[in-house]
Amino acid sequence: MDDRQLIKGCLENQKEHQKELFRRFSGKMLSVCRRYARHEMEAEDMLQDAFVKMFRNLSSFKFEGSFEGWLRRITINTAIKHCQKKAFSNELLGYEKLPENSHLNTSGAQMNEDFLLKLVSNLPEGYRLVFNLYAIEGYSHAEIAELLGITASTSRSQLVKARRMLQLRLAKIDNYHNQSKKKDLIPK
Amino acid sequence: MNTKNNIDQLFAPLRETATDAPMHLWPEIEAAIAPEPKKKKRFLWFGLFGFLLLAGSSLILYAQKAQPSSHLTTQPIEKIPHGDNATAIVARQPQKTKQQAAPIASQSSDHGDETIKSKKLVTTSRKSTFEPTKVLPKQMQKTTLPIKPAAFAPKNQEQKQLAAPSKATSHQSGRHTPITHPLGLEIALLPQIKIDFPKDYRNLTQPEEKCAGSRVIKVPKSIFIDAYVSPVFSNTFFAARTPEASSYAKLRDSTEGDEVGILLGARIGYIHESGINVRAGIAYQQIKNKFQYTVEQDEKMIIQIFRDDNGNIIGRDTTYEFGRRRLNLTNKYSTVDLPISLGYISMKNKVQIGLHVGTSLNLSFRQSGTYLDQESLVTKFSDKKIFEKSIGASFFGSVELQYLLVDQWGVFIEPQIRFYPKSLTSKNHPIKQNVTNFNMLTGIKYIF
Repeated sequence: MDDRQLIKGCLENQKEHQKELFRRFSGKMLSVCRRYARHEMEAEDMLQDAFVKMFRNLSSFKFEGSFEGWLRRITINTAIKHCQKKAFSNELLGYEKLPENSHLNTSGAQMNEDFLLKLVSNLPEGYRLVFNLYAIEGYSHAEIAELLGITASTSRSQLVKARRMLQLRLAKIDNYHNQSKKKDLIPK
Repeated sequence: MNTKNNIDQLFAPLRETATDAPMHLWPEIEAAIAPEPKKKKRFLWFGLFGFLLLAGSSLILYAQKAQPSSHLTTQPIEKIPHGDNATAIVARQPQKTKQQAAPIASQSSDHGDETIKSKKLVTTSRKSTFEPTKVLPKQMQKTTLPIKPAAFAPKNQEQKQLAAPSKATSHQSGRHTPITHPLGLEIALLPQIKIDFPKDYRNLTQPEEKCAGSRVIKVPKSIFIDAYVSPVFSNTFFAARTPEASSYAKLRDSTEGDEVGILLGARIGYIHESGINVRAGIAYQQIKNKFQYTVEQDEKMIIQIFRDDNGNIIGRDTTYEFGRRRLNLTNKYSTVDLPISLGYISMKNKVQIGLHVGTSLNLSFRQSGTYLDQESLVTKFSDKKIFEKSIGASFFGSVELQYLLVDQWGVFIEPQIRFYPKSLTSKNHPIKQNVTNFNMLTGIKYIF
């Protein structure tokens, strides 16, 4: 069954179609949410809200673009709203949590998705949002400014800081990795 | 610039990442998007049920009102002498003012002896509303209609047959004393004989019909005991205490449906002469609802026990089957209450109708069953304490319809609506659970 048929079934309130639509797209959308959320529970909350919003507004989807793109926009908007509601207070307090297990799986080839996700997730809230939207989702600074209610220049400066922070952390992890290797080489 | 590109490129693949579908979130989403017209419909049914009950009770009362009492049907027509050999039929003076009665009197006098033109006598099962008038007031005397002796004499065979009382009718009017007309025509069954008066005279009788049997009898001062039983049609409402819990409230609402419970009780009451009464008693109530949920990924443990020919266990094999499990369980909420009510009772013949309002003080509140917790896990009520120890006071209103069978015994039916303002769940629980019940009390009454 293609997306179009599935969506039509959902519009007719057919539960099986709704469930299948969720099954088909929820995995990808949960990954999107994870990049914005601080922890798994929050990501699931975001996903849930996004899907509820999508099902309630499905009639406004006109089959003009890809359904996944439409759903992704809804998910990102929902995630941003969640972040704006809850998380900015932490940033104002200078709260920043480092990756708990950043020394694990850090060898070049092991820079897997989970590790990268952790790095992004542990960025301060404002940096994380801008970095996600610009570097991963491909939004322009003007679009980000509109979405987050900030100026384009703020968006730019946040992005620069986010990149610098990521770079520093990667460097730290790299140093740690090199030191571990050296220790291994010293004869006991 | 290079660093910038490197960092962006390093993280770009994150866009295409995907995890397994988190199907455990689906029930909550399904509940949140499900249309919810069910409860409204149920309320419509309750409304309709209540309306039918009220309409039914009104109909019974109306029927009771329309049925004349026996003493009214056995009254013969007053016979007074009029002239030398004439008999006059007197229509009882209706309860009207002189102004109302005056034109009637003048009409009758205008008609004089020639007024009654139709001499046809018709036997009918319709009971008469004539009553004897021992002391005739002046107005009354003016309405007497002199009848010529020949007026009632049957002229042909058909009229004779009509005039003669049948066996069945004579049986019905066994207590009637025949009145023999000087010319030999028996008009003993006059209550069953409709005289086709001119319209003006027929109108005279109509107020009488309305009066017959419609008097409200003063309620005797008494003490009574009731014992009753009732089905409990409950309506459970789940409401979120915080906006975040709204989807959980919807999930609970979609997985728990109301069922018919039971109510048993006894009470003692006192009726004052004014009709005001108080009642107090004790009641046990069991509210039920159905928990229905499908566990998408559940496991079933199968233990096979192998025995030898002698029945000794020689081995066991444990296997697990994975699949969906459909849960269909009944939740029970039991209460013991002290209902106290104040009401007003009106009595008509053997029927009493009463209106009551009251409160029920909860003595005990127990629950058994299963629900979905916030993590969508099937949880027993006993595993987590989510309910209040007592649900406090509930308020109710009812209409009582009672019929006295014999001197001291009666039966009654009492539709009742009961509202619990306090949530069944404790304040720490994210959702409120309120109940409104519709009961139909049916019971017996003993009056001291």
